[in-house]
Amino acid sequence: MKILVVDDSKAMRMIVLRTLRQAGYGDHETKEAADGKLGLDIVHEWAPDVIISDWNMPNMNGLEFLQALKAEGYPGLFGFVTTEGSPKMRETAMDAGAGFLVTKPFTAQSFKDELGSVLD
Amino acid sequence: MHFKDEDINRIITDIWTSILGFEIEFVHDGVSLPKSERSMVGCIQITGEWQGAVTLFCPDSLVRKATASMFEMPEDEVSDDEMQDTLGELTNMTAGNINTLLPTGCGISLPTVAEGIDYKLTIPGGKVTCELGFLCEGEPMIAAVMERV
Repeated sequence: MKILVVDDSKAMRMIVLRTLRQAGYGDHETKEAADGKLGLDIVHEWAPDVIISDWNMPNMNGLEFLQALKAEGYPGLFGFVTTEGSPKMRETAMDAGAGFLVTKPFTAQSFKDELGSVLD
Repeated sequence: MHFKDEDINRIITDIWTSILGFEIEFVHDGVSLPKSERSMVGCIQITGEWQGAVTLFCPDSLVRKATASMFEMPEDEVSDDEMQDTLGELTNMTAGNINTLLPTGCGISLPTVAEGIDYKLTIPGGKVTCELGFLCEGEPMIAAVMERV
């Protein structure tokens, strides 16, 4: 499977990739992008199966990224890993077509819970 | 808005232990950063029904340790950009979690990071409503919430 990690913080992308390994998903192919716009470019050329994206990013935020993907008919699993997890944000994310929303800080178990059905 | 010390303590401790695996303890009497040494501050603005900012003050050496942990590299190899990124993200996580304690609809900014020796950070028209000191890996760290009034 191909997993795209999108976050404007390189530090957080490193943490997400490390947590994926800790969750047992280290054998999957991964790529990174620093915002939604760059993420969209990678989706077009690489077609990832799973996208894990931050919400609050410059240029194109995570919600705009998801909306652009859905408008294009992206068929894969898209989930948010973000600092805010208010009920309103969760509702907005799910209404836009997100498969999950994990709040930071997170654990390997929270990744397993959300990604297990696709990656196990 | 009154923040409970235990809520801020729980948020900070959870982030620094689960993300970095660091030992951190809340210091009831507060801590101070050495004025003669270089330090860094991460800041996130919160806007909406409640307005203010969340700040994290850390010695340079603690940010370097955190960066080495996040990037899985030796401390002497981390760059200034990576240190700014790390402190920005730690502040971002702190502010995002504090935002859940606020009225709904408040938004958080992208992080800002400043560094230097013996400086002061102020929000015009703002006041510190909550300030907690910690010892993290034996080094002082201050988390402060400022409210614009």
